[in-house]
Amino acid sequence: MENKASFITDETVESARLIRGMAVLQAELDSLPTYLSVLNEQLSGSLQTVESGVVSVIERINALHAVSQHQLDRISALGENDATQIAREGNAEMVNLLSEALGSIQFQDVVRQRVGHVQAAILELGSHFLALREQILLGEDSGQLPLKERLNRHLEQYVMTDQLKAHLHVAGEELAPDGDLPPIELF
Amino acid sequence: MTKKIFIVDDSATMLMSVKGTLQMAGFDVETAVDGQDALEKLEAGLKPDLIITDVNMPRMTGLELIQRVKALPAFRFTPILTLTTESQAAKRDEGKRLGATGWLVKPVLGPDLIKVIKQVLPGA
Repeated sequence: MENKASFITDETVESARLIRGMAVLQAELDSLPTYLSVLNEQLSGSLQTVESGVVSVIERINALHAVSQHQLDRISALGENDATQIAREGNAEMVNLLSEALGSIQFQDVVRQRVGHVQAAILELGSHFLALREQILLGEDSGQLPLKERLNRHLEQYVMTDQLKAHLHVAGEELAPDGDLPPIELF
Repeated sequence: MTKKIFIVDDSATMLMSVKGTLQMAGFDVETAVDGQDALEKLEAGLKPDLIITDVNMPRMTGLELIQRVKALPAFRFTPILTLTTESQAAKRDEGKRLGATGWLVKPVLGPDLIKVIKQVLPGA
């Protein structure tokens, strides 16, 4: 009898712990989509800031080139001499530097696409957690895709070898050697 | 004669930066925001010496654009370069099969881009 009473007491205590645990889990699951949504908004804001900054830099570079070209045209109009030649060389050097700067802006586009993919994954994770919450707390099968299948879908959407490599590395696999191709190839 | 280059990309900053780079190098530049826009401009009479296209774009992808452009008799021999973040071998092979002249993975610095253009456009 004493043993049974002790067993019931233990079970009651354990049940209370489990209920408290579920409450904590519920609170965490409730707040996860909010965290993810905030994170997504922050990423969007950062991207917009970068994008407008880049546009401003491109506009300045183009304006600088236009001014430089105009000055060179004026100097050339005075007639061909040593000074004209020096100005022409200086202009060519500046054009080369500006061209390099403009080419570097492509890095921004690469980053934009990478962050865009992360954003999509964050939103998806948010909805997955919501579905998981319903499944755990309400016992309802939400019909959501298993996480493994979601990850596999992301794998199919990657366009950059670096993304593929990182994904496979985390999963304990490696990209086949033929995945490394030269960045510039003429057929 | 100044060569005309047609850039197709859905990223406004990419269009601006590549356009600026090529204009500084002395090329005439036209732009389109996706494959559909590009095809419409070509069918409306635009005659570029070279097309540089992104691959992943809304409405019409770069690969579909290559296929459609190569089917137009007027552009059968127009070189087409892809400038893309897409670096997977299967897509590159598909581009080659469809008739792309070359595959450039972003980021490509201005001088390297000009060098490739001069290779595919002799006399540029």
